[in-house]
Amino acid sequence: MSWATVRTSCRSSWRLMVRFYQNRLYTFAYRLTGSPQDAEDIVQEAFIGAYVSLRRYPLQRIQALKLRSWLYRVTLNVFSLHARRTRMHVVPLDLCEESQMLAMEESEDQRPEALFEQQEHRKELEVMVASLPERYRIALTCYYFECMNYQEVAELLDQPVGTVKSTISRGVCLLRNLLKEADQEGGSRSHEVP
Amino acid sequence: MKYHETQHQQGVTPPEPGPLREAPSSLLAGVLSRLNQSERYIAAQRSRRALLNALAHPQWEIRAAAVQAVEKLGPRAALDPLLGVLQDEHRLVRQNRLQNNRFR
Repeated sequence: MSWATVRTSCRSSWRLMVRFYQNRLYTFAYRLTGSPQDAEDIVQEAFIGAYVSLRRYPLQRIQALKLRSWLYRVTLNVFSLHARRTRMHVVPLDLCEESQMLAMEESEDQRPEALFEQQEHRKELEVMVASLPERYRIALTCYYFECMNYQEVAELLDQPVGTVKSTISRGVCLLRNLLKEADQEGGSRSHEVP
Repeated sequence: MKYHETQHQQGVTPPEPGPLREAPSSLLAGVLSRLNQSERYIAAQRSRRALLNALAHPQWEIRAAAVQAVEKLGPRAALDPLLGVLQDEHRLVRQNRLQNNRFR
């Protein structure tokens, strides 16, 4: 489906486009918010925003758009606005450089990178990622769950690639410590990596 | 930087995209309903005054559509209300005004 088709033809083309991308964007928003209702609101707002924007874009600009990336960006913009309004992510994490939260652990059984690959742990990880501060939540969601590469995440967030790598690395450190705490509180090693 | 280079360096297989959650049916219905409502609302405004009033509608997509409709009235369209749109709380309503102004 091309943008030119969506823009120049009738509402049914738009309906097809929404159908095609709604699950992907809804999943993305759900991972960012941890709330089905917020995710639906955000994606609905994103599609309306995309439609309104598209109507005023010149054809050349529309043809140059990368559809999937652009819709992710629109959704992310709506999420950011939503987060500012609702004052989400009030998790009191100590993120200074000396913080124990960012201390690297070498233990294999708390490597979030490996856990992302195990379907049975993905939902658990989604919940933990959703509890991280927004900058880490967004970067980790894009990189691990949406499987974008560093360059794609950098373009989406309008940040240098180096900044994205650093953010993902620090986010993984935070996750690692959250996993460690969860293990200690649970008393069992539920995140064992084979 | 190659795709997921760090994982390859660590001997870890790059993850597949996670399973998708199914969007509720109300999502698509809500999108279409809001777009239809916006277009019908603007189409139903028969007077210039009514269109200007729509610039203050609580739904931002109706305000955005109203900007375009007022602009189509031509250069004699009331300037003051359109200037007020530049302070609208929604980014796309403000951009609609700026964009239309640029191409006039």
